[in-house]
Amino acid sequence: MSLLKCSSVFKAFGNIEALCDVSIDVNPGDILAVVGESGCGKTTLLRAIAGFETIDNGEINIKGQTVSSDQIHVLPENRNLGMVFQEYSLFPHMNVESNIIFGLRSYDSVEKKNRVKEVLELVRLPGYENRYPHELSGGQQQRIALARSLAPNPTLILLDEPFSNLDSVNRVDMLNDLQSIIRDSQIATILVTHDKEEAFSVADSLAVMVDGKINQYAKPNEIYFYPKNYKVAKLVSNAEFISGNLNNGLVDCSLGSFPYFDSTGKMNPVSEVIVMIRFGDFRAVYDPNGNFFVSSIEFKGSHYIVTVKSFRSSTYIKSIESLDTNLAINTKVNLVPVNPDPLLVFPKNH
Amino acid sequence: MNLFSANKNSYRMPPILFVFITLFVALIMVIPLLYLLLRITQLSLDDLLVLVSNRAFQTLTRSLVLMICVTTLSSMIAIPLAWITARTYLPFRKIWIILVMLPLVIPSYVGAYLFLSVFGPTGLFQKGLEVLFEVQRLPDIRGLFGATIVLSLLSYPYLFITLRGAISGLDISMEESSRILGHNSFWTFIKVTLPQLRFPFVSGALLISLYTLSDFGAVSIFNYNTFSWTIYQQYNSLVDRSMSALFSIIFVLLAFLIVLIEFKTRGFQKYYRIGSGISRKPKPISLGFWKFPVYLFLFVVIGFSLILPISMLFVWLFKGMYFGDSIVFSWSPIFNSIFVSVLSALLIVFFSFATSIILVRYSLTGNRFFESISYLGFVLPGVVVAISVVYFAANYIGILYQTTAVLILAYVILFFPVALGAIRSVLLQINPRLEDAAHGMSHNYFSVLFRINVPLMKPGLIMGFAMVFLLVMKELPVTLILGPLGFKTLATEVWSFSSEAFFVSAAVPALIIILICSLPMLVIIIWDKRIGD
Repeated sequence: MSLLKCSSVFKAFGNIEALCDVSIDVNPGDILAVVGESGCGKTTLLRAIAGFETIDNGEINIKGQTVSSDQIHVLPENRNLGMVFQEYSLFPHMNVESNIIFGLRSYDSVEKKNRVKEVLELVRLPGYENRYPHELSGGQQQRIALARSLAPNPTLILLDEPFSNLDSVNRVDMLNDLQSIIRDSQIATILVTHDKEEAFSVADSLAVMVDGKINQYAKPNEIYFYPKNYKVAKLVSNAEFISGNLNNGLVDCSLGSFPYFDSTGKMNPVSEVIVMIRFGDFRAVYDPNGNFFVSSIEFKGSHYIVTVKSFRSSTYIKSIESLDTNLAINTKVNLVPVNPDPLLVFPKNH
Repeated sequence: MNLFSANKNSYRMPPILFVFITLFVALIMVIPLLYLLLRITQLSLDDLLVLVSNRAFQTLTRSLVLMICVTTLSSMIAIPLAWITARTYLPFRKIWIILVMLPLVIPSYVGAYLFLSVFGPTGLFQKGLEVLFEVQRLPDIRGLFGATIVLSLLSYPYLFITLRGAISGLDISMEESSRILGHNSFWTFIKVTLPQLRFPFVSGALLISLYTLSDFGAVSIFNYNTFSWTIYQQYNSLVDRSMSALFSIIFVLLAFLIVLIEFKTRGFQKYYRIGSGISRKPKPISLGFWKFPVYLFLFVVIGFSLILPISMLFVWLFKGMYFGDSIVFSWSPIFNSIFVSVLSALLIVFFSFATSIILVRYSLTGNRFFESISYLGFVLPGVVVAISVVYFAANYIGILYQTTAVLILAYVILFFPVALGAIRSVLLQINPRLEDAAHGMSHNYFSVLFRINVPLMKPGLIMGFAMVFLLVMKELPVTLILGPLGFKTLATEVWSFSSEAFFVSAAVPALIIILICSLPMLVIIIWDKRIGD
């Protein structure tokens, strides 16, 4: 039996559809990441699951019990969920211990102390009981917020953009920490984020949301290699998209003609398409008659990233070059494929 | 998406009790307006003639002249004070600020009575001059002159607070940018600094204008017939109370007009932001050559607005004890004053708490309407609120007529906006995610209210309580008109003694008021962020 089941949930604010036919399923121990740009409805989904928003249609089930539908709305305090907010929302007038105990209503005082100790060890901050939120760094506040939500043994933990308030150095550490803390605690988790790297590295499964709809719901590697449509591809990959035409089983584009892979599986063999060119699919090679030129070179330590522009169109492609490259700005080049894999194509009208 | 709902509770019904309180407050807030509207519909042709009569015109002129004089004089006091305490190097700055704020504890009738007793035609000053120079009589300071001096000396702190907050919140980098762009310090002040102070100046000046217009104590003791004092006299004459209603209509229209002018000047910019708090603070300016005039100015202001009145109270007290003048002392006015002040402050703070939760956390129809009417209390003068409440109590709720309940009802109408402002602003600073987080941790509505909202809103609640307590303690016209028969408070005692020139007897209750008011005043000074640095 799944822990959480959302079945075609709808929610509108005025005439803006925040959630449109959203269905997800979370099993014990799962980590689900909901990815999307800000305003796509992912936070609304999280808040609907937590009970801070009502839903217009559909159903949300927790452990088989309906908590939200167009008729029913179980209040957040009665759902036994844990939530870590984007701003962490630690109570500023309480120390760490009181913050954690706040959620432990049914425990006696000895149990409370023990549980506080346990969760502080779990988040690797033992001995922080008497600190106040303002005495903690951003990363520590986040871990305390996580400890606070884990303490009452919730059915499910909801994380709303947990890393957006951390700087990039802290972020990598916290990402690893969080993953192992969640694994250790064995609690199912839903994580909402706009950061694809975050989502790919932490989650077991991924739901990509665009304009209130879940466009793809699958394992991270599947989404990475086979994004279902142009919007998903744009959201989850480092790629450029150029226009092309299907012709005789090949796709013609400004880079040449190549074998392709039809993302929908049912495209007209002669039609206009969008071709996805991933980072590093092509290499720039010096060619005095080339149709492209080097417009910028970024040094990345172990390699260069070279941006190549077309003379004729606004197309530009990034390629990865080794440190001994002889390319310089304005060098005329041509682009050659690195491997013979087919290029992913999407229907033009999307 | 968050824009639509995140800061409002949409999944939970608002607590019925709080909705009920909000509706109740809204209902009583419109009583004065309903009364005036009712009176307007009953106007006859004769009444219209009264409205355009010479007497009405003179009252209007006198009120306006006093308002302009007081606003001008208090600006002349407050602007330099604000700049000196915000920007210059001043030893013991905090103490100076507190001293400059303290005149707020002196009610205008106490100030007026003390000035009259000292600088009156045969006051103490004249007595001194008589001994030295054989001066028999001084020119009468009653009327416009005395009222202007006393009201300015007691009301300048309102402007001082807003201006000082604004000056110390200014981002110094703007002035620095102007200097780098080639303007000297004088033009920088004129073109960059002053325009930024326009809004706080206008809102401070508005407070003083409304304070002056609705003042009853000073104008009654100096017998200067502004609207407040004229309406009270007409009301008390018992012959024809409709006159007082007619004058009230003009009075309220005038007050609205002034607020409207203020809004126009501010361009309907509702909230003035004092600064982000992260801007760099300027280095204090060394006074140098200006040290002497600055200290002289500080001493003169504090001397006349604080030291003189308070020391005169003691002079009258000792005079009374020494020469055996009758000092009437009784406990009941003290008890009554504290009783009504505490009770109304508690009630108003509770009402404001409930109302602010409804206004800030829920989007209910009528919220906007409520916000605008709740500011009526700022505009409506005490006398007008009092006579409209009398009218309603006498005609519709006879049982309550002449009871303390009606008195407290009028205090709620008058002072609710003050507390609501303080309490609402702290609630607005609380991130609603904190409440969400607490609900998510299995706490129900009232548990969250008491364990999260109340502790976090404490500064606002305390501030609201202190302000309302102070205002009720000093309040005079509503207490005079609505107090039950024989109900005496410290305020009414001071007023009735001093209007009959029993200066010694007035000294005791006056001193007690000042002592009691100092407590909430200290709380306000400590909690008001605009005052600290």
